[in-house]
Amino acid sequence: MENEKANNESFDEAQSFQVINEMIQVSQKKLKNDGILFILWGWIFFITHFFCSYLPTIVELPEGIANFLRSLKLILQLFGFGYTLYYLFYKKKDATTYIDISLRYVWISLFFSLVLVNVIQYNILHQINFELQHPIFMVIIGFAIVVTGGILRYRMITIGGIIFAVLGFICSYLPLHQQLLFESIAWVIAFIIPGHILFSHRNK
Amino acid sequence: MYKDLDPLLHSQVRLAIMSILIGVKSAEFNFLLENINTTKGNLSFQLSKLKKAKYILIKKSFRNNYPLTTCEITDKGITAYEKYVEAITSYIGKQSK
Repeated sequence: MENEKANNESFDEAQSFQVINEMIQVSQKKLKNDGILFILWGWIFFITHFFCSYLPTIVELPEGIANFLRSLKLILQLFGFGYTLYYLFYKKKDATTYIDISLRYVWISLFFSLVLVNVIQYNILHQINFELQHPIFMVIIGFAIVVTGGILRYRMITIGGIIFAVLGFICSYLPLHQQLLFESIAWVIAFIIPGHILFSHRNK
Repeated sequence: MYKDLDPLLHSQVRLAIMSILIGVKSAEFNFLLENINTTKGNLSFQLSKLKKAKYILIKKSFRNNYPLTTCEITDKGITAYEKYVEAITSYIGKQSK
């Protein structure tokens, strides 16, 4: 009863408006994405494409370094998966927004789409043709990035997604080792740069 | 007080709770406490009033062996909140004329 009394005391309609505005701003802060997963996957795929896949095609590396780069590729991707699962499902979050849920759906369905594309390719061609796989994957990933940019209402991500898909299309004219170089650049443009910008704005 | 305003929502703390929950899918008790200027006891009291009116759902669970209370707005709560905002907008509109 005490609580109730204190609560309603001198609370007029103008103050209601003020409370609504203040609290909506609190919710809006939670709608911002911190860009962590963009940074993580941007760097992982930049390193794996450029250093682990493209570099060995243009420079003859000593056996030890080549082996290290092959292991690094696997280790980084496993780390990325592990951290992503932790970030999405186990990390302490004081509030869950519909934006979080929408993005989860986009990227989890993207992952399964990419797996299915590989299975379909294998069923038809009886092999994985990486020269075909890279451009197709880039266009599909570009689509997911554009959707993400739309959900977050962040134009830089949308533009990054379009560039990612266009570079994927250009890759279809190039041999595999050049595709890897273009893809490395695409990860920097569409993931690393917007990710770091989102991260720097996370608490503003 | 303007007669069309829902008395359950026309309270500083309860309105603040609903205004936060309307924008998110769910929010933890501590998140509400950090952002609403009130005490732990009062927040619990106001949450239970909103729960009783079926404006919110309260889920109790554990995280790392600590109790975790999560709140979520219901469809009934959304409708009531929308009506409240509509009523208050028209009231302030009438006053400014």
